[in-house]
Amino acid sequence: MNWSLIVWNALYTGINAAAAGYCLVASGLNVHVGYTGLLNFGQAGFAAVGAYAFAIPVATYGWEWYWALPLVFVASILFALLLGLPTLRLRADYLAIVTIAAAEIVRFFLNSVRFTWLTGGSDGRNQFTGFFQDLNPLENNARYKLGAQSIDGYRLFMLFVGWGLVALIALLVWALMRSPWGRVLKSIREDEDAARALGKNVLMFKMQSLILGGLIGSLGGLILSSQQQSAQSGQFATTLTFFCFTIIVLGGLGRVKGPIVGTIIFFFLIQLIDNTLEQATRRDKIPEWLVDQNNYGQIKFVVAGLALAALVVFRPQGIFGDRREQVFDVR
Amino acid sequence: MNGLVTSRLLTPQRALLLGLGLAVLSFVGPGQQAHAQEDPPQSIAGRVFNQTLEDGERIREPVADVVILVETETGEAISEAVTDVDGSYVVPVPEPGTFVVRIDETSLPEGVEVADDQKEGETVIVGANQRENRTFFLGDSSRDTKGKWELLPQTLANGLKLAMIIAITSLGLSLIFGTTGLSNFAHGEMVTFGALVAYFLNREIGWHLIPAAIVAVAVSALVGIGLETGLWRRLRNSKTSLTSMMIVSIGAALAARYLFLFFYGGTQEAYGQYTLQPDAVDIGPIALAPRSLWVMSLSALMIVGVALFLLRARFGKAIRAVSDNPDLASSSGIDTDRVILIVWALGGALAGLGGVFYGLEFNVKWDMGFTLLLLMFAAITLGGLGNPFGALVGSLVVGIFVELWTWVVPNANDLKTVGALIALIVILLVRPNGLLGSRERIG
Amino acid sequence: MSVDTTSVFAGVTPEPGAAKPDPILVADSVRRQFGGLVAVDVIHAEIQRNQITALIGPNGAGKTTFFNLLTGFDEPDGGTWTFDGHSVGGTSAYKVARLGMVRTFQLTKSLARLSVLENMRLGAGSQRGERLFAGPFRWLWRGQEQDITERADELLARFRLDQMRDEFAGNLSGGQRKLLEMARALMTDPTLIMLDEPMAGVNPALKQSLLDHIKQLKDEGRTVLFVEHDMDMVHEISDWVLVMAEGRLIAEGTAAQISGNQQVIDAYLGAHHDVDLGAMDDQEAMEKLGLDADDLGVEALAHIGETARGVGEPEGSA
Repeated sequence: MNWSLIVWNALYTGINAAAAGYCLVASGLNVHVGYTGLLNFGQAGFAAVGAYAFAIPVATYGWEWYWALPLVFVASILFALLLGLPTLRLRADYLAIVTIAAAEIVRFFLNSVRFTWLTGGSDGRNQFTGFFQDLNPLENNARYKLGAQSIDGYRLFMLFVGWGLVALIALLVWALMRSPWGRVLKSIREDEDAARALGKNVLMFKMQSLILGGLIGSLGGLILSSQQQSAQSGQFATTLTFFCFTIIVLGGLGRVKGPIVGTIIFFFLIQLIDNTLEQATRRDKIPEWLVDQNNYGQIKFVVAGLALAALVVFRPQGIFGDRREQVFDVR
Repeated sequence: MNGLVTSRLLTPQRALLLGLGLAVLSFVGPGQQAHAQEDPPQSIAGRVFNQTLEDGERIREPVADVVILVETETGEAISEAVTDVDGSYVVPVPEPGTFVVRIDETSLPEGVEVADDQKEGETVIVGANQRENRTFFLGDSSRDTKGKWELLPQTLANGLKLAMIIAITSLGLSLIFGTTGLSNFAHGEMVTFGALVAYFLNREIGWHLIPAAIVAVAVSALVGIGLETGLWRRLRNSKTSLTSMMIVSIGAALAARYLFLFFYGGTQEAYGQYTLQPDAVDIGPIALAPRSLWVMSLSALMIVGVALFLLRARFGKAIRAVSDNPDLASSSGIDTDRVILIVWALGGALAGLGGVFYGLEFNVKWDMGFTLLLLMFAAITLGGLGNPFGALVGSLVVGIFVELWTWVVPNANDLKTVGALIALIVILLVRPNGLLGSRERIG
Repeated sequence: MSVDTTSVFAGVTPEPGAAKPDPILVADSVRRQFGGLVAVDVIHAEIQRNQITALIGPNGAGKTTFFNLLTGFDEPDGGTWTFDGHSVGGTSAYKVARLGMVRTFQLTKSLARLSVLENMRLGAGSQRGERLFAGPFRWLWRGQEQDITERADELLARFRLDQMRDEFAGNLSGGQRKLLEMARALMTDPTLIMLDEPMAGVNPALKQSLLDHIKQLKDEGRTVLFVEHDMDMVHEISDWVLVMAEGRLIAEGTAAQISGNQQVIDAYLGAHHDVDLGAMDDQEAMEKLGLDADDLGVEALAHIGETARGVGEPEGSA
């Protein structure tokens, strides 16, 4: 077993451009769940909208990036309105169910053979990252060393773009959440009737939160697809949303650094498990009747699911949080 | 991230998983090696029948050794297959897309020919990971060429069939929601579990499907009881909020789903009995396989039974009382914990049965329950959350909507569930508390 | 029984729906049904400006539902009402609150994971920093925030919560939360403040100071309408009393007039399963009523409340 390679690879997975994309998607979800108490289970839908609203015009219709980028914002806001209008008045359960349904509708459409001409079907779209490639001061195809990890110039650049965006968004979220606007969101999370009784237009604040968090999630989707130079509907399954839930609960709900800490730890651990199993099965360190080359990959999902359940029960405040600050109250 | 692996044979891993859930297990040693057989995830399959009319009665016989050709729309050959003794063929296709399936007429036995409307072949759109079915009829072509409106009754019947399955699974989901307030996102995995237990007993151990199904239902009920006593009751007692419990159920569902994939693999499999039933029963304009009629009748029987139980039986009334107002129910001497335990057992059993039925109709798959989960949620939401009778109405709407969608939009099988999900959102816009829901208090 | 009946209510007939000289709130035909149960059916009610009015009645009488309807937290099946000349029937809760008609809740809604000070600041109306696009830029709202904080600190001092200023509201005692909720409502500078059972769950030591706070509200020129079960409190601070039973307004008058009202006694006793009415004459019944003032409100009447509560009142009332 090459432990140094395993650990280096796990570390890299914790901070690579894909992790930054996840971190953005999770940051948006944190605005919804952590600050406003909106149970959005369709964050993957926002990410998909972000990825395809950029990829389709550029790859299918040859638009310039500066026309496509605003479309990401427009499409994401429209999606938020579409989700929010029927559900924000209703009980939290309805929002949970409708958001997960809406995200799946988006994915089904993107994946559908009928719309292959538009979306590329299950192959998705590529050839839309020229903008990032042109912007890259590094050699796109050259190899660079990051510890024991070797990556190409494009992904290294996207790593910086992704985490740069994470930093900007974290700053924005921090500034907003210390403001009276953020105070109203938190009061809605605690008890929306109390906010209403004090004259706050709860519906409007919830919608603003849904739009803001959705926009951040869309940017995350854009980074996710751009870093691998391909927008595929398979990336935006419900698992993405559930991973992001695990990430924000792990890092601490309703904290600015929650998604960042959560992402790094989550992907480090997941990849550590995955790499170890991969090596162990390849070198016959584990009996084949237990785990083999073909199915070790499922273990990480099982671990992620169990981690989510266990965290919510045992450490709802996140691994570093103060129990008083936990967002889901244990009444 | 998703390297779906397919392996058709009994792998010891599967045995281990199912063994954990089952007391009835014959030992499967680790000596049996799995030969992973990589199938492309999507395929076109179907059967070829010779169809003759004798004394006004339609007789269909499978035809073996017929060559089936799959081509692209431009006529480029992709792949081919030969029918077996059942007349069945499976043609794997390397990637999703639009294909033309046709019969190589030179391979046909003497005296039969392809029906006129199938001479050019059939255009099939195959979605990712989907299996499209196309059946060919040979002979003196009495196959009806039906217009769209003539297909409507059949579509509705198919919708009703799906609705029945959704109904028995969502009844449990609705009762659990009603009595505990929990939106159980792991209910879909309970459905899959039932289907897989039956599959294991039926295909791996070799039991007939009926005893296998009965044991699967019983084991599912036990799992429901185990989850309630081992997990949910503890969480309730430690005053865990409903939101937290909902997220726990999501985590559990994710873990369970990938455990199924780990042990069972990514294939779609059919049960050993009742799956090949070419001789459909004709009821007016509708043709249904005997299997489907049984599934529908048994589901209807279950639904009526549960409804009567809720309305008439003492215990059923207690369940409804707990749904209406748990505090009042417990203060008037109802043992709420016991009621909830029974609801979980009932919910588990119904989910397991629904899983077997779903597997019979649409094959067994590791994520079949998750696919169904959204439809179940759509059904109970449409019916008004927590109202078991609403769940029935909602199931009817959802099931029929799913099938009707493919009738309205042809060749959109990979968008099947979308129709129902869109209906869910639209109906919530118009009737925010579901079809049968009463007006919600906000204050 | 220290109510001064020679005041504004001198000319008012003590009967349900009586007209007041200067009503701030006028409700007509307000009706709300839950399934088959009529929770509220008030034909006419007026609340006098700058007075303390109590709303009493047995559990399940529809008092909280009436509150919810008036403040926009529930939708009526019919009816109109005006507040300070504005028609507010069917208006959203937050708009009602902005007009100056602010309520508190029976079960306190302190925002547990916000500090006491943040709870108070939230109450202030029309804050520039509550706009999404102004939020990130502190200089746009800093000045206003300082004014709000000053006002909050004054109120906290008045309600003796200044020690707890930076604590999470979730760490306060039940009584302190009641005080915080009232103080927070005052941050909105309401004209009419509606208190839903302000005394429920408050320990006796705090009760007197709470009463003084309510009286002070009147001195500040505000109108107070409160739901209460504690008859001592009703007697001590209310200028006028409305009585509801089974959703209807059945009596009005000063506290003294109400305690002798036959219909009120019937309404309470009708709910009192434990009392053998046949064996008592009215006098005895009245004594029983008087003796069990607390009991009436909370314990004994709980039975009738329960049936109605399932559909009517919010969870956990009483």
